[in-house]
Amino acid sequence: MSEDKDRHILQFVPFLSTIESGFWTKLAEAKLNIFKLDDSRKVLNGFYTNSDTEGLPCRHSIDFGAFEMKNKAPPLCFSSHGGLHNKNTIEDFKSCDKKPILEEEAKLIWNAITSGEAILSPDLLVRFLLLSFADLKKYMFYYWFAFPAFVHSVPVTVCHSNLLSDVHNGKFMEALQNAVQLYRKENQFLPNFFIICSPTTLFGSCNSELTMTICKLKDFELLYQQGHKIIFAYCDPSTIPGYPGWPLRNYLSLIAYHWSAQLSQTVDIICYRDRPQDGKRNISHSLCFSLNVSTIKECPLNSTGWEKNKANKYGPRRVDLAEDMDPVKLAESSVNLNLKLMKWRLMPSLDLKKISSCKCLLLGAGTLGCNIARALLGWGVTNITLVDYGTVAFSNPVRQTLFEFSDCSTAGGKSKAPAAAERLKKIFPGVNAEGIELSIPMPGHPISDRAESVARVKKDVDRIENLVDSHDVIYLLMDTRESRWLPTLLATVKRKFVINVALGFDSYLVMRHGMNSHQNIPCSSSSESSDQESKLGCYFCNDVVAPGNSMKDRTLDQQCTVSRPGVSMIASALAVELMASILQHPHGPLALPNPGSLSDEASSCLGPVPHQIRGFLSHNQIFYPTTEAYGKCTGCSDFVVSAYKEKGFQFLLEPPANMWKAVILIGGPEKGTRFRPLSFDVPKPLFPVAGLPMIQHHIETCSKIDQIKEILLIGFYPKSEEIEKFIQSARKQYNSIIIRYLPEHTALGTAGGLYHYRDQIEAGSPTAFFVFNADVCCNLALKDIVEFHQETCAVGAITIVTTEAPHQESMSYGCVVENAETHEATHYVEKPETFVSSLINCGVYVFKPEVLNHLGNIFRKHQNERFIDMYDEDAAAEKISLEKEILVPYVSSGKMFVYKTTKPWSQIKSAASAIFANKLYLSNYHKTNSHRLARNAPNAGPLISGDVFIHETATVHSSAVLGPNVTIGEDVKIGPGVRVCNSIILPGAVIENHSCVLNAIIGWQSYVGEWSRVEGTAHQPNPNAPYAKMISGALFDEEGRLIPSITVLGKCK
Amino acid sequence: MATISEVEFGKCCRGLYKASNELQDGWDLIEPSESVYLSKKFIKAAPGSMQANYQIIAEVTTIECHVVYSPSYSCPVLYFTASNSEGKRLSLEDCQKLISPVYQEHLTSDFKWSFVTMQEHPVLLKPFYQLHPCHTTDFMKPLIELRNAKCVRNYVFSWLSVVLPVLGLNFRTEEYLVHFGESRRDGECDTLS
Repeated sequence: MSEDKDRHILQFVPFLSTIESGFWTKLAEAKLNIFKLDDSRKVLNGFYTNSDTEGLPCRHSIDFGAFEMKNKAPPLCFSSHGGLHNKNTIEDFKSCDKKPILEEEAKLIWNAITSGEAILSPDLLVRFLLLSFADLKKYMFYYWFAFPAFVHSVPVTVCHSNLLSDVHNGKFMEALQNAVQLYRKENQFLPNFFIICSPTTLFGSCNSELTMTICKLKDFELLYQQGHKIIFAYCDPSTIPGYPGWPLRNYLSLIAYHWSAQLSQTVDIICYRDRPQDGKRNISHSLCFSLNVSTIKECPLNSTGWEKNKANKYGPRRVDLAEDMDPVKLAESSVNLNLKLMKWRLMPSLDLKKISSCKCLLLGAGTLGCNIARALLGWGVTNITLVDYGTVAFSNPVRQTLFEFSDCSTAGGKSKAPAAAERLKKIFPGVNAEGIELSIPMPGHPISDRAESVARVKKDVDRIENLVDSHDVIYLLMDTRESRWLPTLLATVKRKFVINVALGFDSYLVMRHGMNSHQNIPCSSSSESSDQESKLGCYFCNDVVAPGNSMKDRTLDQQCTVSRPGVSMIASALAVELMASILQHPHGPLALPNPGSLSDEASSCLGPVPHQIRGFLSHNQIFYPTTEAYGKCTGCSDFVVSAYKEKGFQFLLEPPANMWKAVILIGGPEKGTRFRPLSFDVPKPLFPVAGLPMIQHHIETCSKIDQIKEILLIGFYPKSEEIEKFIQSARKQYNSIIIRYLPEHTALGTAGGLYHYRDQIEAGSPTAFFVFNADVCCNLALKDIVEFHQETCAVGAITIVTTEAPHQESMSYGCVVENAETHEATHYVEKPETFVSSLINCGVYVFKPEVLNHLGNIFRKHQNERFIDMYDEDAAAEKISLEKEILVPYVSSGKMFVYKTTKPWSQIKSAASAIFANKLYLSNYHKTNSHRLARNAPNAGPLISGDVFIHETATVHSSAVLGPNVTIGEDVKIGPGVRVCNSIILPGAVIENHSCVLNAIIGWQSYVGEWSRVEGTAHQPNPNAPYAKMISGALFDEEGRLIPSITVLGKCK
Repeated sequence: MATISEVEFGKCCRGLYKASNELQDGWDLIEPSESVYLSKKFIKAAPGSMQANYQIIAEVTTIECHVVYSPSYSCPVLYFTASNSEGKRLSLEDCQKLISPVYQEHLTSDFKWSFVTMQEHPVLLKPFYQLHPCHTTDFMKPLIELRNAKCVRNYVFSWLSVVLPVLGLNFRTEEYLVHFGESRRDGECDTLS
């Protein structure tokens, strides 16, 4: 600064208050425990430093030690003293008269100056005042600092002002620093204010020899009398060049009072600033002033010092410390930090927000609900809603981890859901938990027709619908199967992510429901694209009992809900972790499980995303099955979803549709002995008759009946490519119907498979189901049978299809005696030794689902016999005979009714009967599929006589003559001049020129050379006996001679 | 594994405190009971501070660092808290913003440093941020060998020289090294180990 401008009024940099968080905590404690309603002045300690770097304001700090009497300032800091006026109300705070309290504080300074106390302890010159109000409910603090200072009647003016480094060279500074260091060594602390005894004046020239001494203020008189040159110094908190900090004001008042007269009102001052720079302490930025200070003897009337707030106005400040001090918020941030630790340490790609922001709906607040809620808390999930209708029972708290003994009562415990939510909040107040007392309407639980009860159920359904709507993840944790249905449906409709947990005694199931990938359900199942977008199944799509576990009586959730105590915890933990993994997966709930592969595509950063987790404690095993959605599922199929979308609540009131199924019993490889050798090469049920596999005729008939929604093939053929291929093509051909093959693990007798797969049959609650033996050929009018069953089903449970047979023949079949009026079956005998009845069992039945319960009883009986009678090891206890163990008992209880058909019927036991069946089906094509019958084309193609089926891929020479009753399979080649009659030519066979094939079956890929003659004996039912059937007797007669029959050429290998 | 006993930790703290006093580095030694800890406040001006006439208008952040002994990990642990001039604690994210870009990169790339958790301060019983000590003893081994080569056997010093820069806080490593080196010549090496 230039000399001209030097003479100006000195301006001081005011203090900026800084408060360290510890102070507020101490204030809150003191207010609650010590001050209480006492709002008188309290003593405080503060401090400031002179070593701040450039750019920092002139700070004055208070920290958690402010209330301690013997508080020492932190290293490199200097003490200050203050008074606290903590008001009890915001009104007191606002209306407090600020002038007197500031004057009171200023007076303390003045007294210290005049008494000389401030000379002995110069830190008394730096005072502050804190006016505050602590709103401890909201953790809001209002405060206003003042740093009292006197306003001199004659302002202090500046004679000289410079940076220390501008006035003096390094030697001076080094000498000063050495003096300070020496002082510190001897006295431990440098005082806020001190004097420098120097051989030179502050602005004087520098001698070569420089030794300086730091002295206390009290030494002034002595040094002055000894004629030393004295520089006043103080530790300056300001960092701005040219402007000294606030403490100088009262320092000057002290000097003016005591010594300015002696100094002829000119005072030399060093504003000592000391900061580390380049590894050394540096004081070159300290300020040097030569000031003109008039003597003061009277207390100045005016004092100043109120601090401006953030808006740069004189006014209080306010700080919201809820985040720091509210235990609830502290818990929240602490929990979040802990979760982040997982992200930071183990998996940087973890997106915690995806999990914690998830709104979870827990349907059921029992052991699963409690444990899952706790695990969700651990993941930082803050929105948890629990739904339950029960109350806490005395047995609950030991297993249901959110309840305590005090929640139970002899007068009925607390309602579970609200009690659980309340406890969650106690565990973590940051959680937004709600408990809703609500029973979930269940299908099959009748509602009375009264308007109010319908309205009540509607209200419940609406509430659940709203809950499903307002949540992201739905946990199904109820103890009954039925109660899971409505939420499953609603979640499918609203495309919500469902996690389902069910417990057995020592087993558990954790699964996620599939989700439609599109908002709108595709109207048509356009072949391949829909195959790829296969959807995962829901709880109702999938058999809850895995195959092989049929020893268990019922599905998991249908069993008694007693389970080993740890099972719920295991399952709950797995359920929540499954949710976490899936939410981390890029495809979310649409992610496809791929347990075999570990590629990134298949798993999230948390690992694989299985569809189901099934665990068995008894053998410590866990399986991860994946099952596709079942197109006719009652919970998630498109039909149900769109029906609900269309009709809403009304849909729920409608009685279940009259839905039927069909079961085709296809047997297994050990059966069909009379069909050898043909049955060696193809499963007998797939042997083509009239161009179609045997069982396809049944499927085709069923597909024409609207009520039949599913066809289940049950047998013990191992799953093979052939069967798979057949199922695939049949599905394509009859896409209105579900077709599935359910393999038995071993031959279970004619009815064991029905029991084994009872859940599959019962799924969707069919009204009744057909049972077909695969190896019968018939053209039944199923519609009539359905009607007949419906007429009789009030009493009956089984409809048996019968047909008339000649007396002699009847004895090789199951014979039924009926009450001609009521059609009730009165007697049933399987292959009687003497004539019983001319009505024979056609191997086609209709069962009501209750028959499956009956099978359950038989199953249990067998299980018991196994132990009591040392049951034959080979005969599986699961084997059940349909004829002996179902039909016979039902006849005796009067629950079987007899439907008679007059349509042609035949068994297909032998090759000859296949030819006959071929004939029957071909003739039936006239009515049903006339396009399948070959026709004579004018001037082209072979000559057709009677019913002939030619596969479109076969090549038949135009000079051949075919028929009647001929089936030509795929890729068959028929040469010129060939004659085929009453025969089946199997795929790939070649019949060379001019050959003749009569009454024969030509095997796959067989080659019949030129001019050959293959001829068998026609084998047909006795044309003279009415209703005569094909007799598929032994191959040899009693004399050991081969009974003439058709000729079979086996497969050419 | 390079661990340190509590007694040794106390010795190191006193050694560092003594050196800090001489270097005026501002470390404070707090001895509330048998256990001791070091404490220092770091002040930073938030970016965008400005000088209006003779006043500086700036948001000031105080970062308070405590060096506390962890008996379970047998090593020092850094507890820290940061607050603005009103005494409101800064969130961890805000703390990270204070750290200079050079160290920011360090913070994300070098995993073992970035485990910050919120813990109750073992002495003050207040929520503090904590640099998790689970890897401390692993990385200290080579460091100690390096320092031993210079005959500075102060575990706490060696540890601080690595830990503080992580938070973007200055530690005058070289000055201490010089200081300890001089003390050693004065025959004070033993008091530091």
